[in-house]
Amino acid sequence: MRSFFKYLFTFSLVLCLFLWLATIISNQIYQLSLPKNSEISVLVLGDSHAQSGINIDSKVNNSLNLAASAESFYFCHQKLQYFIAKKVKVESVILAVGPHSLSKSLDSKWLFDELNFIEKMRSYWPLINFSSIGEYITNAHFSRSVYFELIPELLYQNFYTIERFVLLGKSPFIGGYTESENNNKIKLVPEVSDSINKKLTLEGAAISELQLFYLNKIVQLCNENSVKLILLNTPLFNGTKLENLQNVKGDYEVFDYGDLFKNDTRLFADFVHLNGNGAELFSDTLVNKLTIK
Amino acid sequence: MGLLMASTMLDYFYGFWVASPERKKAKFFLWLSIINNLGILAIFKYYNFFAVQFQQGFESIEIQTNPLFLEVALPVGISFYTFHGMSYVFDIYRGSQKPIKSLIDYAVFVSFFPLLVAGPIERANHLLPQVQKRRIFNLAQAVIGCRLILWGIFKKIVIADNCAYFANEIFNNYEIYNGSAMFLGVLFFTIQIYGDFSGYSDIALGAAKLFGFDLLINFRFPYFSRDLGEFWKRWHISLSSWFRDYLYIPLGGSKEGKYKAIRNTFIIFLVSGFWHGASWNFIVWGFAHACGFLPLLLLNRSKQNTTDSIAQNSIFPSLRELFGLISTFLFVMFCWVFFRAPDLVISIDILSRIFSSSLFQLPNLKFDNTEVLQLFHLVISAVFLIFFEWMSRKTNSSVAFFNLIKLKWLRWLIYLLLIVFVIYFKGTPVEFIYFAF
Repeated sequence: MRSFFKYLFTFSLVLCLFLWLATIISNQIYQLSLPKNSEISVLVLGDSHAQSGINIDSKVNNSLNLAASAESFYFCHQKLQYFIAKKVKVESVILAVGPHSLSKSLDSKWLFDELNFIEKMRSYWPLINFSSIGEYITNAHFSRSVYFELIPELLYQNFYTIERFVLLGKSPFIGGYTESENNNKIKLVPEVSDSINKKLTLEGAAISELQLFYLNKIVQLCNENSVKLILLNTPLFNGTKLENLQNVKGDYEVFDYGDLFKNDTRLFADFVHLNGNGAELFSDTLVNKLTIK
Repeated sequence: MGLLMASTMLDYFYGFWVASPERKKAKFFLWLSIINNLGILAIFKYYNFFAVQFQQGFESIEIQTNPLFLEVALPVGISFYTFHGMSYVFDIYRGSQKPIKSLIDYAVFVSFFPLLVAGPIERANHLLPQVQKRRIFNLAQAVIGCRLILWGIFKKIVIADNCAYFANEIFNNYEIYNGSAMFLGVLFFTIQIYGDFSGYSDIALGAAKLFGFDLLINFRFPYFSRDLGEFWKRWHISLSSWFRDYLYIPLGGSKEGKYKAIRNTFIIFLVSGFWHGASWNFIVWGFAHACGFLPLLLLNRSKQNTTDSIAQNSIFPSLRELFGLISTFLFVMFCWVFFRAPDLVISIDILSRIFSSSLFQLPNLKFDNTEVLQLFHLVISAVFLIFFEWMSRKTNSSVAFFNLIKLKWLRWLIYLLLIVFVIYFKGTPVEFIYFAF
């Protein structure tokens, strides 16, 4: 029995070393995909609205879009915190805040869905401050078993990252401009747009306390580190403007382009996301505004 | 739980009654035990099936009936523990086993955790002596146990679960797929069911070995069989040998002429099919196997390949063996359609799609990038599985190949590789298929 446990212990040790090695390699691949420069002029964060609507990486020097679909403000906060902790000088942050962002109607999918949380954690783990996970898990009322579910997923991600990098030469995806996949799949009708909007916006649901909590954390982090923060509402098909930001405390600017391309079917992939042409046009508008400022 | 306890208690007492020197009394209690065990199965597993047949039978002659349907979940492991109990009583009746005094020992035999829910179906004269004797920890056995558990997990999580993803997609949307795509769907299921069930058996055998128990081997590389006779000596061995010993031989086996041998063969295949589930699909599956077995029986070749293994004295099979392997594999594969499809009509539709001109077209399957990657991982894992099982084919153990590797570091490297496969190539979790039986 003793020699069996000795055998098992030695093998477990070798296994842990092996997995640790994979983690180091994977982490290095992540580091390779992040900008090397010590300065970021514009950092774009937020959900799919910014991901498919803002393509300024080639238009503004040292700019970086790290927005990703179904991204809660918790992960936006983590991404920003990562750069600040790494002593990267971030001049300004554009954070996509649509009428839906603070709505409780999306909480179940964006914040309280354990699978979505694990998926995001898996993709971003080298950027995450692990001490923040406990707070989030408590706030989102997740069971503690989520930790045990996370471990194999993080191990999975290491091998995934290595395989993608070795076989396909691809870096891990931690956000970035992507043209909307919904292009031309949905018939854009203003009436339908209004009803969808009603469901998603504050008219249809109460404020999400957790989203507001992390949004305020982003504002606080920017203010403490002298980073200029712009809360941006990207164009929406029905032209809904941003409201109810009175609970967001601190210094920030608001760029509200909700009605910029109202009812223009040529520029939208669906009711809430710009298509490639719309993104190009909107990015130019945004760059102009940033330059003038 | 209550049912398991009741069944255990009854068979425990039947054991004493059947051991009676008065043959008349013993026979009476043997039949009572059979009725008792089959009654439990009939009520909990088959009642609704018979009620539907009863209703449909009367509807066909335009008489409306309203039979009572039971709304109870199938008790976990019912098909396995009732067979454990029956084998115990049978063996006592035949004199090959003595009734056991300790109820606890008997309860361990019936409900030993690794084999309770999906077998292997143990024999009283094999497992009970192991329960009764004092077990001492054995390092070599424990190492084999760990290897079996790892290999079983690999077969289930990597091979079976990944195959299940593709098989489910194709079977659930069979209307849109052409013959070649359906062929692939059936191939995926063929690999899935082997990985799933033999994987479970390996885990059960491995877990039991850690506790000092040797369970009956359930699989011996069945897809390397050269004919159907050999396949049934290698697939779900504990069930097929159970039916052979407690049904086929008592019915006369093959010793009482050709007619009885054919009749008995059909009986055990049909009963074996029905054992799997209360559905016509399983009965047809059993019937198809009986039909496939018939030529071997008529030509007295049903046992020609049961004493050795394929490529016994070489690395590769001969052309004759290869032909036998491929034809047996294809036959078994097409029979699995009845096992997987939800009903007979769909099974026949799927088979008619496969055996159409579209079999020779390119499969009309569309995979996204993630699915292509998943398929790539599955192919790597399947090659790994086939290679190592081929290396072990002459033995009784699915992890015998580890003994061929003399270098310790190489063995450890393979363990690590298997663990990486399990972490990284894992499929979407699917419940063990045989948990439903």
